[in-house]
Parts: sequence; C-alpha cells; structure tokens
Amino acid sequence: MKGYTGKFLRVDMATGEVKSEALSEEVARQFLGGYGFVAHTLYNEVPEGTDPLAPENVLCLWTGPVAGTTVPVSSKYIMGARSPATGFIGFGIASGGIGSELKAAGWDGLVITGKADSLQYLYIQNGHAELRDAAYLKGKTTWDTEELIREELSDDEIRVSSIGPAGELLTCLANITNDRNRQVGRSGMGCVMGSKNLKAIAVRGTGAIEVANLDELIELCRDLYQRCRGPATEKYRVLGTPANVLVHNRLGCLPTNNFQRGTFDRAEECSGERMLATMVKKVVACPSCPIACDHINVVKEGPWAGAVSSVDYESLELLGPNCGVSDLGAITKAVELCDTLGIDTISAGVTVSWAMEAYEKGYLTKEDTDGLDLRFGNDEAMVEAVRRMCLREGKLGELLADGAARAAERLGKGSEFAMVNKKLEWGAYSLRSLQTATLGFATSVRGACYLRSGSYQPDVKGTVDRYTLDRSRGKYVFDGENLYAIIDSMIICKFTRGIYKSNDEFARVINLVTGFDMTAEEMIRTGERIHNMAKLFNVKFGAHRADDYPPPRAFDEKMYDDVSDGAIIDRALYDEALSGYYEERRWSEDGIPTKALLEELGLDATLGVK
Amino acid sequence: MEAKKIIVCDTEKCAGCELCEYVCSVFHEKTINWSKSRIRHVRIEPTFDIAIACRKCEEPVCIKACPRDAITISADGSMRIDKDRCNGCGWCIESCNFGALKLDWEKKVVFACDFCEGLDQPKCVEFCPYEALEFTTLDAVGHEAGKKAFKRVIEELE
Amino acid sequence: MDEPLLREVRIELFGPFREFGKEHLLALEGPVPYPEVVRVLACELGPGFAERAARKNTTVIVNNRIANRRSLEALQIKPGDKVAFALLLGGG
Repeated sequence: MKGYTGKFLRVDMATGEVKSEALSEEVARQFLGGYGFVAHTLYNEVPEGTDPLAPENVLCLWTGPVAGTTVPVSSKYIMGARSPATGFIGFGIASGGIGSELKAAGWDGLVITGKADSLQYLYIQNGHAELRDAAYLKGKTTWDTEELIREELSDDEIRVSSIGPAGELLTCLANITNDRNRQVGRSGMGCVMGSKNLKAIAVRGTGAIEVANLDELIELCRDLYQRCRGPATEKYRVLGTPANVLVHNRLGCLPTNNFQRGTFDRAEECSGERMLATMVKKVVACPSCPIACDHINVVKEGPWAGAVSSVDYESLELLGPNCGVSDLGAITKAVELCDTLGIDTISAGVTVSWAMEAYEKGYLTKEDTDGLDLRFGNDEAMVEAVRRMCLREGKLGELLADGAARAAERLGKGSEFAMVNKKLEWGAYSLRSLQTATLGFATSVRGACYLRSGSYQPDVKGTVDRYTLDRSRGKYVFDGENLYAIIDSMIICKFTRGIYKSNDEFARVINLVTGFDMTAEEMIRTGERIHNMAKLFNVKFGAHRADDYPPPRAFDEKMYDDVSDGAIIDRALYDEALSGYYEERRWSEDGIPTKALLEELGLDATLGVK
Repeated sequence: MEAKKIIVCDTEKCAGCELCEYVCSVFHEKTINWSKSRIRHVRIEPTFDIAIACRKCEEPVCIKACPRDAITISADGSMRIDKDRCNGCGWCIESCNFGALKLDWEKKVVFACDFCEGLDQPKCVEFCPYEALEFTTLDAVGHEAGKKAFKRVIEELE
Repeated sequence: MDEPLLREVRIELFGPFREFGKEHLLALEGPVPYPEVVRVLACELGPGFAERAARKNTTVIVNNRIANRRSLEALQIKPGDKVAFALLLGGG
C-alpha cells in the first residue's frame, strides 16, 4: 500500500526504548488513519480503569495516508489518549508541519507509554529516534521551546510540538502547540504528555512520500487548489471565522456572559470586520494549504500593545463576548497567553466566564479571586485570570486550572452554570438557539464538540427550525459524523470540505494516494466503523445516555435576549431527538452500540448490547 | 540579448503554504519530497514569508567559489552543475547569499533551479495558489513597483 | 439608528457585503417578493450586489429566521422587516 510508510514508533518513556513496528495493512484498510488509528489504538491498548495520568495511559500520535502529499490541506496530525478532562476518548487534530515531517522521516505515527524519570523530549529523524534531556526546557513557553530545540540541534527546519508550563503542571486544560499557531487544543492532551514527562516532540524528515498514482493526483490537486480560491472557502480567507461574530449576534446565538444571552451590545467592537480593519497583520497558511485562514493579530497600541497571536472565532468569542469583553487587544493577549503557556482557549474562555458568573452571584469573593474584580466585561481581570489558570497561580489559578466543572465541584456550588458536556467546556454556539448543533455537541464522543459532526449546519442553513428539536434531527448528526470521521482519518482540513463535489471525490483522493479501491459507500461505512470504535472506547470507560446531555442551563432557563427571547430546550423534545439519534446509529436507548452492528462493522462485540 | 527571467515572490501575497516546494519536487524528482525542491520557502515569524530560488546573478559567486569548476552559466543565465565534476563539497552553498543551492545527499551532487527548462513557465509559478510567484525580468519588477507607487499617489490626490 | 418606520425595510450588511455599506433603508408600500428587493438594492448599490447575493455561499436572514435558499424566490418581504446579508456560517 502507498501513502503510508508502513511503520510506526513505539516509545517507552520509562526505559527510553524506541522501536519501530509494522503497520498492519488490515488495520489501515479498516480504520484508514488519523482518528481511525487513534480510536483503534486506544481501545486496544489502554487497559480498563487506567487513570489518565497513569503511565499506562497511551498517548498516540497518528497521521493519515495523505499526510505529506500534495493534497490540500494534508499536513495534519492527531494526538489522542484517555482524557483527564472527560475520562473518555481524548484527542485533538492540528495542522502545521509536524504531520508531513514525520511521514518524511519514515513513520506513520507514535505510540507512547510509560513515564520518564525526568523531563525529556523525543527527537525523530530519518530512520532514527531518541529521547533527549529536556531539563533546560522546563517552564519554557511553547514558542521558546521550538526555538531552543532548533538552536540546540542547529536546524531551523525542525518541526516541534510541545507543551507549555501548563502541561508540566498537569492542568486538565493543557494543550500541545506546534508551529506557533497550531494546537492539539482540546481534552487535555498536553496534560497527558506532561504526565509522561514528555516536553516536546521534534521531527526532521527528508525522505520521499510515495503515492499510488502521482500523475493523476497532481492533476486533481491542480484543480482542487483552484477551488480553494473560490466561493467555497471565501469565509475562511478574508475575514476568517471571526465573521461569525456579527452574524451570530444578529441571530441571537452569540454566547454572551457565560451563555446567558445570545446578543452582545458591543459586538461591532470585537467583530471580524473590526479585527481585520485594525488588528490583522497578515493571513498565513499551513504547509500544503491553498486557502490561508490563519489571521495573525498584532496589537499596535493600548495596554496590550505587542501581543501577537492567531485569533479565530471560538477563541475570540469565548474570551470576548462570552466574558462580556469587547477589547480585541485584550482578547489577542489572552489567546497569546493560552498558546504560549499552553492551555485550550475554548476551555479557558468558558472557565473564566463561569468564574465571572460565580463572582457576580457572590459565590466567589475577592478573597477567592486573589483581589481580581472578576465581573463580566472586566478585560484586565479576564486576561489575568487566564494567565493564572495556566500557571495554577494563587487561589484563583488553582481553582480554575482544571476547568469549569471541576471548579464548581471544588467550590461546592455553581455547577448549574458550568457550561460543559462530559466535563468539557462548550464551544461558541448558543445552546438554546441552535438546537441541532446542541444535539451534535452533546452526543460528541469527545464532549461538547461540533468538530465531529458539523451539526450546526442545518440550523444555520435554515433547513430546520433552530429553536426546537424533533426525532429526525439525529440523521443530520449521524451523516455528519460518518463523513467527518473520514475527513479526520485521511486527515484533511475540514475547511476544504466545501471543494469536494461529492463523497466519490473524497474516495478518489484516498484511492489515488493509497492505491485502495474504495467506493464512496465503503468509505462512509469505514467512517461509521471509526465512529463506533471511538464510541466503544467511551463505553469501555463507562459512558451512558446520561453523558449525552447539554448542561442544565439549556433546559432550566429561558434566554432573555433581543433576538432569541424565550428560547429554551424542551427536555422531552431533546429526549426524543436523542433517542432518534441512537436509533439512526443502531445503538440502544442507553447509547451503547448493538452486538449486531459491531459484528457487521467487524468490531469487537464484547461490549455491545442486544 | 533577451533579458533574463527569474522567479520573483510577492511577500505580501505569499502565505507560506510551501506548495511550490512540493510541486517542484514532483516535477523534477517524480516523487513528493520538498527537501529536494529547487525553490525554498523562508518564514521569519510572525508574518514574513518569501519563496526564493536562484537569482541568476550577473557575477555568480557560486561559480567563483567552486574549486572544481563544476558550475557554468547557461544561455538563459541559470547555473549548470556538471555532475561528473561536482563532488558535493558544498562550498558553493556557503557562498550563495540566497541559499539557492542545495545538496542532494543521495546523488551526492549539488543542484539549483533550472527554471523548468523547456517549459513556458516554471511549475511553482504555475501552481502557486496565491499568485505570489512570477517568472519575470528584474526590469519589469522595477517598472511595476514604480507604477504601483505612483498609482497610490494619484489615488490619494483624487 | 432609529427603529425603521413601518413602511421601510432595514437592510443590514455583514462581512464582504460591507463593501456596499453597513445599513440601508428601503421604502416599501406593501409586501414584495425577495427577488424584487434584491433588484431594487442592486439599482442603488450596483450590479455587484446582485451577483454576490445570488452566490451559493450567501446567507439571508429575515427578521430572526435564516432563509432557506430553496425558498428565497417565493419569500415575501413586508414593510417593517429586517433583512441581513452575510456569508454562510460555519467553522471555529
């Protein structure tokens, strides 16, 4: 088979042993790569009951068969492990140079177990890999770590994925940063990396990437690059995803003040339009990307002058309007802190907004916040709270470092407004005014995530009534999940999904790269298999129906708002929609895959139900 | 004598996608291997991007540097490396101000951009999704810059 | 901006539509089909507006509702309505 290198590395952090193993062709055909391989590896190799921070937890890094090829946008990689935030399957997909570089070095992935005695980093080159002492990198930001490793090894072209001090401090929000602006963001993968005493993964590869049919592939790519410059990707290129701010505001689904409201009176000040006009220095691309969506903000004046970071919708919204903050300089600074010190911006924003609501309700006093006046709209307090969370600094930092759900647990109150699902913080989509989105978020295997299904689409296309739910909504989530599982396993960037005319074209790309002969139907079936594999991991670790619900605010409080006034999710309707989704999936009423389905998909049916 | 053409990169349009490197290797090496690309992308954080290949210098330092006279200048101004003479010492790589030469560690000789000799335009220029690359003369570059500058003045006056 | 008079339609422009301004008011005697509204706007704002409004990646929001692209032809716009034009949403 082509595309794959056919080899991966097993790393034992405890002994320092690094060995090369063959990739099974059967596994490749069944699970494709990327997300599929993560689900397969974790299900088979993480022993039941393993604590996420224990040495036995498996941290894996996988590429897909298209990594390093000319397919747009193919330089992606995924890292996965049992999540310390949710206890379920954790993973994050990032772009940048690491994925292709690892392929060029000769490996499809890494499977890392154990814990080292002292801080190490993994250095991988053509045909060789070793653990190296990282004591001098302790406490360093992710950006400094990249520079320092390049200096140490006298090679400016080394790609580096690293954790910041937050990962070393084992915060549940800790992420992994590569190429400065790209993150394996959610579900605490940086925390797992820190628990193994692994500071960074550094890769330099110069080998060739073999594909099955290069001539046909490059001609298809020529066409795909052109499509990437057209209307299908316009929203990413010019304003970028921050274009969502004003439109969501107009629709009453811009989470404001910890998701209490759906409109923000100062939305213009922190809009994508304002950001482009006043703050964006340039829009850059990841390797192999013809779109370029990475908006780099440089703050030129004001109290946050000098801050530089890549700002997209989720980060902007959750650290901005969701915290009542409209100052783009403050938001850019907060994102810079998250990226360099190493925590997920989404979880950061929703945890700070939880704290703000708790403070305004009097659940937290100034003593609890170490003197910060943590009211909605206080941008200085928002930035400072973020910084302290990254470093577990003071009473406040320690309280917030592991996310909103745990903060509420520690405080002993406020869990009714911790905006989480499976203890992972919700994204910047208002729950009660985008209800199909909510179904997708809440049923997501990772927790509170739309990246698995794009379930907001019927809501924002006006195909359905976004203020209510019914039994048929599950089909949208089901279809979205199966296709997205393929996208996340090839791995290509979701922002390119609009350039493909049909599922046949996705399959054609897979076949031109690997030499497989997959039909579109087989491809979707593979997506279904991958999704069920991920779900099985969750079942192994105790997932039930109760884990697939949005936070209480969705059901218990009506929105009061200019646009979406009175919006609420009817619990009975949600139950119907959830059951409808399980039915579509052929899972039980408790959300467990049936034995019949698992056998059909060629999966281990032990945990299935009748 | 016809003015020589080089590959010029507009640093405002260049987004750092590196597809020029991928494409170059596909057409020269018949495989995907950006480390063997003749054109090189350089990023200076946070936002400066440029893709650079041989400049067809009027007085090439690489030719002077080569102790085995393995480099000659061809009719279109590009560098020709004699594979039999070149022993991969890399002295030319050190001498070039632009990093335009690279060592092929498999073939054990040095290589530089040949501007896709025989084709209408270099493949990198053809494929660049951002239209940041142009195959053009220095004279035309200068003329465009002057035109652009004055267009702006006129717009401001209006 | 003041609340639109009952015989006006408030047009809001977002994202690339801001090339044509931020907001406009259209005087309207009675209900008109959506295509007519676009035609009138194109007269004021230029043919580029009509072209952009017709693109597949355009979102049209009437009051609180996202208009389903398939039903745009038949959609009636009434005096007092608010119509917004933007790029189709999605992504984070």
